[in-house]
Formats: sequence, structure tokens, C-alpha cells
Amino acid sequence: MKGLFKRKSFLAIVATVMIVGSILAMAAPAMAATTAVVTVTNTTQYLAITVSPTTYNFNATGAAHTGVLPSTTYYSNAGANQVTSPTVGGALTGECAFTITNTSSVATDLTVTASDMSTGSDNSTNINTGYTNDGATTYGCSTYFTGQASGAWVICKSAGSSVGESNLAATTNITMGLIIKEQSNAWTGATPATFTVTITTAAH
Amino acid sequence: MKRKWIVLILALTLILGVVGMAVPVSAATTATITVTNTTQYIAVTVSPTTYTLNGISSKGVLPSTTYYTNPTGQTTAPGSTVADGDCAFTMTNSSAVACDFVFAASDFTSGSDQSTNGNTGTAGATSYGCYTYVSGVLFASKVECSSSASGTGISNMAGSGATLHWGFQMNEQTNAWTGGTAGSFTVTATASAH
Repeated sequence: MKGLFKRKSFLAIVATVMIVGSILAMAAPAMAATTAVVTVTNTTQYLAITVSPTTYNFNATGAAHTGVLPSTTYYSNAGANQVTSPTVGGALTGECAFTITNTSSVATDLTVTASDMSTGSDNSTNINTGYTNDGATTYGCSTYFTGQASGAWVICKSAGSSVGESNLAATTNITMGLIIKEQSNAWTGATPATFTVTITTAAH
Repeated sequence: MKRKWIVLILALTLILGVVGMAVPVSAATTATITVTNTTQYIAVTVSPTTYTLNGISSKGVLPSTTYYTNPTGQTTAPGSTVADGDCAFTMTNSSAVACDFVFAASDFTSGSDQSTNGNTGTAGATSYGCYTYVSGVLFASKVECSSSASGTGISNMAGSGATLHWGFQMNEQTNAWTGGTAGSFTVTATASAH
């Protein structure tokens, strides 16, 4: 009798809890939509390029290459012959000596400049009018990128060059070459000169 | 016999008269109150739910630079009084009651450079500052948007499907980016009854 009473009490409590719970659940519905969320993407304008190789020696690779001559045009053609122009209809990757590794996060433009020469017997200056021109003590320079026809090759000035490669996609590598027309004056000495080619990337 | 009939008729008339007094015209016996049980139902949505800072130019974002979720130019501040056209986001308040909104902008949760919310509105070396602004309100009244416990960004916005335009200002961290992987964070608007 005592056990039966306990069982009845227990059942009564359970029933009461269930009823109260149901009422509370109905009275206080979940407020699922009290917040509104926007997910924001913060794409950094991260610009980063590297180039390889970082040194280059015009027409001096291998036994057949005996240095550069005045009034002569040379190409940083990755093939064996640096006096042969890249394909004028569109430079091939194999004709470009330099690989630009682009890890930028956005599309970019590449601008290339070439300094005056220094440290040599004959320090030519950049004529700033491109590879089809030279002067007595000035050299001409232009760049070409993979796929560019000769009409798109860009004058490589000592400063203020036009964009050589436009709208290069983010994280997309590209290859590039240089054309140099040596000064017209005869060399006065044998000490090699050097100059620097700088590739600058900017958001497109 | 005749007399009996007369007495009966009189008696019935009397009874009916009494009944008539007991059952008056029913017009004034009830007074009705119609009770409206307005639930404090709160429901808000925002559109769009994703956003790319400086996405119009596709140039990404620069350190130490301020951007606005302004459809007319993400480096252009809204006008003195914020206009609808200055705001990228539309808040719809489907609540049954007027609401206040508090905004919170989280720390970045991904990316090469995971800025944290400096909670001051201004940028730090690796922290960003954030403000929200609302259409129809002075831009100078923009509200600092912390990662939590911001002030009220929108006050007393009507319910029942009313809409309101808003945006936010982002002051990017001062340190240069160390990588190109985009970061992301969330801006959460929380509604409560006004």
C-alpha cells in the first residue's frame, strides 16, 4: 500500500512537470532570428613578386658567346642564341630568360626599368627610347613577356616606363625577356659594366 | 365564469409586466474589452549577408586605410547626413515591436593577417577599428563597433517589416600585410525590444 502510494506520487510529479514544461515551451518560443549576420571578406592588397635568375650576362654564356659588340642587339632569349629575336608574333615561354613568380593577392601591372650602367670601362646610359635605338654612349632597352607580339614590347626606360604586363592575374607567374641594343661607340676597355633591371608590381 | 376569466387575464397581465421589468433591453448589460496580445516577437534579417571590402575595385585593401561599405565608392565617406545610397546593407525588421540594434564586429578568423578588433574605432599595428552608420543620421554620429558591448547602432526602428539602410567604416591595421590570403570576420546585428 505504501509502495503504491509512492508510485502514484511519483507519476503525479512526472505528469505535473510535463504539463508545466509544455506550457512554458509554448509561452517562450525560441527567438532564432534576433540577430542578423554579415560575413565580411578582407582581401589584402598583398603585392609580392620574385624573379629568377637575379643575375644575367648578355651573350657571355658558353664558349660560343664572346661578350657583346657595339651597335648590336641582344635578347635574353633562353635559347642558345642571344642574337635571335623572340617570335615576333608572340614571344614563347622558352624565349624568355626570366621567370617572375607572382604571389600577389590581386591582379597586378608590371613595370620594368633599366638603370644606366656602372662599374665598367664603358658605362652606357639608357637612351629611354627602346631597343631599336642607341647612341654613341647610350643603349636601348625593351621588355617582352610571354605571348606578347613585337608591337606590344615595351620601352624599358631608366624611370617612368609604361606598363610592360597589364592585369596579371593574382598568384599567376609569367616569363619575361629583355632586349638591349648596345651603344654605337667602340668599347674603350674590357671591364664589364653592370646595370639593374627592376620589376615593379602594382595593383591593376 | 366571466369573472374568473377577467381575474385570470389580469393576473397574466400582472405577471407579464413583472417579467418585462426583470428583462430590460439587453444593450447595456455588457461592456466589451478587446485585448491585443502583442507578442514581443523579434525577427530581423539583413541583406546582403556577405561583403567584400573594396571589392568594387578588386584591388583588395591596404594597411592604414579607411574603407566604407559605400556602393558609390568604398574609399568615399558617406555624406554629412548618411543617405540610403551610401549604405550597402538593408536591415528588415519583421519584429512585432520597435527594436534597438547593437552591432558587433568579430576578430578575423582566417587569412594571412588576422587583425583583431581594437574596440576603439582606430587602427593599431595588428588591430582594426570599426564604426557603423545609419541612413538618415549624421555620419558624425556613427557608433563604434566593438567585438562586444557596442553602443546602440540603430535606435527605435519600427517593426512589422520596416527597412533601414546601414553601413560600416573599416580602419585597416597599420602593419603591412604579411600574406595574400584573405581574412574574414563577421558583423552581427542583435535586435532587442526598444
